Amino acid sequence: MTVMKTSLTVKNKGTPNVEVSPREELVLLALYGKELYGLQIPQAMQEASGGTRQMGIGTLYPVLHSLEKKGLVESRWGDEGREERGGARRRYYKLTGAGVTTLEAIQSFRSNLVAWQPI
Amino acid sequence: MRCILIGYNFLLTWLGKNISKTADASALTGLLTELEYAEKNGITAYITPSSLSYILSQLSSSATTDELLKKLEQNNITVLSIESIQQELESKLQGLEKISELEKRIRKYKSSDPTETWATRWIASPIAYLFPPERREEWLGDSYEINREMLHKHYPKWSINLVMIGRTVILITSAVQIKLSDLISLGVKRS
Repeated sequence: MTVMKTSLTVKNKGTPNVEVSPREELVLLALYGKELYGLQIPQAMQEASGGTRQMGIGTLYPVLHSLEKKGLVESRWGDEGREERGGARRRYYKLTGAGVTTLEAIQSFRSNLVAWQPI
Repeated sequence: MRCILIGYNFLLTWLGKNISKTADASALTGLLTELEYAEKNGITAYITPSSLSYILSQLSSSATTDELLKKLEQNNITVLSIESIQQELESKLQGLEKISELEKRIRKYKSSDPTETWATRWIASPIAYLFPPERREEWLGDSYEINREMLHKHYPKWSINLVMIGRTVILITSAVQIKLSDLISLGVKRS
């Protein structure tokens, strides 16, 4: 009975409502608790992994678009155009409530999976 | 080379004022003898301000600083004054401050740092019209930012242009990818 309860809890807590690919998950992790603009996301990944993980812009922009469509990430324009960007504004991304919930669910699922022991 | 390093001119001035009129150059002679000995043996002699003040205190002379310096020069002793070096450095510092102020003023009238190469101007910017309108500003801005960073890191222009062309191609494929995913998701919704 206890085993059944545990597996149910894992299923309820750990299964995200939206399907998220590994790349999308990485972007969600990078955006957790902060607001970043496009170029800062690959930079965060590179620095956090000590240069072993990289994400090119060819992957980043479609991933951000997909996450926005799924409602996990929201974006806003920066206040003003910058000289170093040829007058263009920055677009800042952050997690939505659903994004945070999904990410926490994924994390919980992972930790439960690591802790799971066969009886 | 005979050399006396005098730390503070004010010390000399004070000594010059406080030494009595009756000339007694025995201490100075002693000093000169020591310096000669150092010269013969190839030793550079340095005298600290405190030891110089002791020697000068032994001189019962009313010699002023200038007179004392003259005497030392006559005996082929180079006197280096830290005070004069300090003054020289201060004047140099003032000069540098003036230059930095001028540079700041000039910077206002200078054109801003270049952020674009020919690839951004003639390839990325026109092709950007193929990008989704809501993404155009962001993508082009990011490209400009990378371009500027590379320029600041002094990468060769040809490599920056090459990277920019590569980025533009990648952005086009990204735009196509986004369009396709939108179409597919629309098809899935309808079905």
